[in-house]
Amino acid sequence: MNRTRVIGEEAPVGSGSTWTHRRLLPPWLRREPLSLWLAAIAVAGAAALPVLYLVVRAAESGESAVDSIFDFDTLAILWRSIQLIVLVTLGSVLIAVPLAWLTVRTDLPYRRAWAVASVLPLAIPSYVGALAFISAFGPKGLLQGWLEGPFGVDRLPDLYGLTGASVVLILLSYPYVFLTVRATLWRLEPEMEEASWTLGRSPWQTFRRVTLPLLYPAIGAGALLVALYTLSDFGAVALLQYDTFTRVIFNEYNSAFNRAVAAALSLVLLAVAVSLILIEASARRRARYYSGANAARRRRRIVRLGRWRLPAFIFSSLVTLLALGIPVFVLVYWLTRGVNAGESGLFDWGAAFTSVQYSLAAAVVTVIAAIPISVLSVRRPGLLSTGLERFSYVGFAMPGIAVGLGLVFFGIRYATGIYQTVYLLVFAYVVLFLPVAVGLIRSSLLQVNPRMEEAAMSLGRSQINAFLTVTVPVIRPGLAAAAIMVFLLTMKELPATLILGPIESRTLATSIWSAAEEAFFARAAAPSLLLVIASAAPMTFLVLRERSRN
Amino acid sequence: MTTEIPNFLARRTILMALGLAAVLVLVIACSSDNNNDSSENSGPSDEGGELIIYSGRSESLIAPLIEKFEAATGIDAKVNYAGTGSLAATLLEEGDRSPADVFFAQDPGGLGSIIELVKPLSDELIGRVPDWARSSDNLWVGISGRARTVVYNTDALSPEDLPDTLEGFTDPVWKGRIGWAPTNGSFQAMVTGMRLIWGEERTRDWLEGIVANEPKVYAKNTPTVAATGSGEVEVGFVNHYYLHRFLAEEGDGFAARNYFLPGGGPGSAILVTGAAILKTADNAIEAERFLDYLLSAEAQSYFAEEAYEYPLIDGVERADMLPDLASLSTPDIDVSDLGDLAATQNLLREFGALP
Amino acid sequence: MIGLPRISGLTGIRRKPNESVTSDIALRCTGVSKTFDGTLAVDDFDIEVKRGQILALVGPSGCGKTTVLRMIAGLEVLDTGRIEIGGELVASSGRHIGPDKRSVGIVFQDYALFPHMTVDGNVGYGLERKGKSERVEEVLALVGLEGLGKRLPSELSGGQQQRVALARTLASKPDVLLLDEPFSNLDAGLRERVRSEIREILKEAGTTTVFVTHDQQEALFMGDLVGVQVGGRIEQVDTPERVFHRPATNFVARFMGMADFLPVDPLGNRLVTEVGPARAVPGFEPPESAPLEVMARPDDFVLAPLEDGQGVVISRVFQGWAYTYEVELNSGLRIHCQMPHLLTIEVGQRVLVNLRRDHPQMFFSEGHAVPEVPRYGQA
Repeated sequence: MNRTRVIGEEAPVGSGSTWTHRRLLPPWLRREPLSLWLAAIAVAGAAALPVLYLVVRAAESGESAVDSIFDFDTLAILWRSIQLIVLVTLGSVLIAVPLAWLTVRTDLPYRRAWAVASVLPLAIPSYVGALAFISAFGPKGLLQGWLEGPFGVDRLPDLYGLTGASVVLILLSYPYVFLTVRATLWRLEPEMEEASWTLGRSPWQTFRRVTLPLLYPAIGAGALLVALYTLSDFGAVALLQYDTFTRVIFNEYNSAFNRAVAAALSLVLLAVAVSLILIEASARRRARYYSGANAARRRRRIVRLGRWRLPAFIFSSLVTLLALGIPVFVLVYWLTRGVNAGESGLFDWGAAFTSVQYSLAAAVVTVIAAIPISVLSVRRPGLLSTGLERFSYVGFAMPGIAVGLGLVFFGIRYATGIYQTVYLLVFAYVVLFLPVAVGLIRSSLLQVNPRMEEAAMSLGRSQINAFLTVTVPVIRPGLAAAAIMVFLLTMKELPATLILGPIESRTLATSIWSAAEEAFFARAAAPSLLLVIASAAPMTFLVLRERSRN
Repeated sequence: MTTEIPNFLARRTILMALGLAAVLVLVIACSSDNNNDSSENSGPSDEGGELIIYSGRSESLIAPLIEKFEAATGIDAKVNYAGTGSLAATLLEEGDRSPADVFFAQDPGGLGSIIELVKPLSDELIGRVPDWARSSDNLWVGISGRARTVVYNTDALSPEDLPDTLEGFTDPVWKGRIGWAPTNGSFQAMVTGMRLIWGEERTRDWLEGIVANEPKVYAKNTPTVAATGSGEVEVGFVNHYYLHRFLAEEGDGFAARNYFLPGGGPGSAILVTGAAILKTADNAIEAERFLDYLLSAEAQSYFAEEAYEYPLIDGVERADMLPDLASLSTPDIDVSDLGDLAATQNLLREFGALP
Repeated sequence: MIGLPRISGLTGIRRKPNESVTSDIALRCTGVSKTFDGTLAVDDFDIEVKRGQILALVGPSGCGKTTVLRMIAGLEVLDTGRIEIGGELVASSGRHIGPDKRSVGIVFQDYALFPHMTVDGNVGYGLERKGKSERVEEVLALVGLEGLGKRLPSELSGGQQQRVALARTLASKPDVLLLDEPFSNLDAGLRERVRSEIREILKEAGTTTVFVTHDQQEALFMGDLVGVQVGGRIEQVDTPERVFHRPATNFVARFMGMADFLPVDPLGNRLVTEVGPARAVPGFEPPESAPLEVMARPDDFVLAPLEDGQGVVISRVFQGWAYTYEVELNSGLRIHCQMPHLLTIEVGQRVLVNLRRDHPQMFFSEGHAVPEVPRYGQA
């Protein structure tokens, strides 16, 4: 069983290994186990199901779908979506990159706390965040109320429209970029920056010419997530009164007989998403930036901020205050108001438990499903593997309702056994959040020297074994980050959960939604806070673990 | 040179992964059990049947009612809560294989879109509600009534300032002071009614006039009322009962009140929530019992007291603070006609009210 | 020699030294110490390297060599002591000039090439725009990589990458060049060839070099000066010959090659060991009342098979042109002796062991050489 093997040697006949039939495969397939390719294709195929659904439905509507797609108004709204995406992506990068650098490389006090606080906005569903913002900063919101007394401010300028939508979405989605950049910063070989320094470049020049370019892949991956998230967001833009393409689609779906048109429009959305993915891909160069084996062991260089400490502190505080402080404050405010008004039973522990279960399941399954695609796209970059990886991104861009209905379509016809059970729901989560996991695992793998695995293989381990014992421990932070991201996203996912969830189950997200629909703000606040707290725990864990390893 | 190397690490990683997976499976299995028992108060007796309800009405409102139903009948009711529109879409997708028995919708539009999937109800059931509160072919029955109204900010306005009919709001003096939610089902039902009562031309004029006054757009009724209360807008076109929810949560200090248009017209239309039994229902008997319960005094009082909606059966009084249904100048339309949303939406889209 | 001027101070990168004032000593460290987390990593480090010399710092892993290198480069701050480069004080207890302001280049163990830049980009990285491309071409030619300017580091072999790293540092003509274990990444077969090529390049460029290694063969080959460092301290700095033949301590002796130490009994003015008399330099004075030892390398012994010899051959290693025998003496002490291959002694055979008397040996007492010459060598 543990018979060791030299690379290239064929196992003797009858040993039961898969190596014997490798000669029948074309060379480009031979080097990675066939099972890996099959797994990757299966996962990508699963992600394709909702797309198939959209195509089928859209085909039904024929003429009217084509008309509505090429309608001038539709295109005008598409343009609005694009404007929003550009602003949000730029803003997120501008906030996240300095923040990531500050929390990894400098002597900013309480770095770990800042890191956790910087990521937590991800836990806040966009509609809750938007609602909180309007409540706080709206023309007649909390802030205005406070200012009215001493300053006589009757009305604040409203933040509806592109400005408000951009600001809120930036604050809620910059953590995507923050996480990917941070992960890469930890793994950057410090010698490169030291080399630049000794070659006469100041620390700032070093950052600009060496560090930053090395961060581009990570920034690109994070920015893509932000862009896709913005593209598919509905809740926040609706509240902030900014019409986007996704709103059109949602409206179509909610008038059920327009499913066909909605499907056609969803395909347009997909097309936009695909273009975004292609843009990121072309910006991403052959990023084989792997660090040496002992990169992690070298004492990491800390930049002393000196007189920049105060500005850095202010910057971090401002971001955290706006992105996390305001929503939490408003939620607590609503909650206390409800408690004072005598409401009870506000904390739905059952829903919290269910949310955590679903999210854990989704996290584990998604990460495992993401590994084949990630590995293949990094180790064997070629048409097929890159195509699989790019394809897995579409799930993130599709409106949750499309994914949900798509799986209803397939589930009710071909998989009645698991229809309306946890299993199909977790499947939906995998489809939705696969790209997040793939992106994070890829970034992590890019930092690993494939020679390590080959060294292990030359010492007699099988390929799987070498991967598990040599590479996996090194990419563990990436795997953990991927799992935690999927956990967070699943915790706040709404439309697919509503459609596909087992009938009696309640998650925190659905509780929030149903309470907010009926203006039970206190009842919406409690699960929202639980959501943030439940997401804070794994986030903190991840950040603290990062530190101790490095 | 070949040497034996123990595979501790590989084994350990695989074991860990398997362990995690095992825990996962257990956890999921337990969770589905847990959720099945989550309705603690109900002790479904052995003879009680099962019932699957798709409810477009929110859980926070309906769940207590469901519990009472289960306690009273011993039927184990499983409810799928989601938006009316997306439930309708789901039902259409599910088609013949749908597991649902009952569809409980927030507004007539939702019922209208799945009208092909439901079967006629018994005369007795239908007979409990007024004629105008049920579908013409007995395909669905109204459960509670909601009046369209205009909510206004009491700090800025008093009833004398407000026009008698909706058309009054097209006056340019109302520019920038109106809030509405054109994506909302009830609003669209009202506009459908408008088309029926006023005709297409007049409806278009009204839409044009309101749009010219640059109304603030909200996603739903709730934010509209909230905005009116805070003074962000001064009037809003909503359903009547939202205000009462705000009053209950924030007290009488909430600076908004309902204004029922004395001039009548579509702005005062009474909409209904409704329920229907699906053709694919496996538990038709239990479904009937559920509708029967919804139209019972107990449930109707619940809607009156907890949701501030209008009960539809005889013998149950509305909540005190609501104006009498009869006193409202309700237009004479058949709610079942309000189910035709397609043309309304196209109209709204034409004027840019819908994206 | 390349006659381009030093990089000027326009970008504020490098200082412009006044040639006539430049001292003969390119690098001087005095009493440099550094503590990491309570452990003394570098202890009272003293060194002087003349312009154009190559200093090989050798010692076991963890002895602080890399830390010294990093302090010279300015990547670590010293605790006490002084570092002067080209006559300018760059580091002391109260002063620390950053690496970007020092005229020091460092080549890391994994080369640390910028993966996102071409070879040209890497090599020209520290240069000003003016004259950059000519200088880059020049330096690439110097290291033998002409024409590879447009390649990316990932497209180069390990040896080529190393040369790019070297070229990159040489491009701006630093006062001192630092190499951190430059050959440890190469295969053994390649190592020797690369070593001599690199040495040639360094000599041609005339750069003062400090390079760090744990391989004593390398140090002996590459260095004009060899510094043996252990436990953060310099044990000896001398020419390769003197470090090898005239080690200052037992440790240095053992580190630089196989060495055995035999107790010596100073009977009168004769120095007697278990294997016979040992010869000293004329005028040698053994320390009073301190134990004395003589150092003998494998080529200092002579073996002859003899039935009642004082030693028994324990093992034998064939090295092609010679055998190295490990012999256990009657006292239990083991010594190593290298004998030409023409004589073959079997394991287990008894042998007569003698010390050669054709050259004087080195004597040690309590770990240190009994002085014949001053402790620090002169180049």
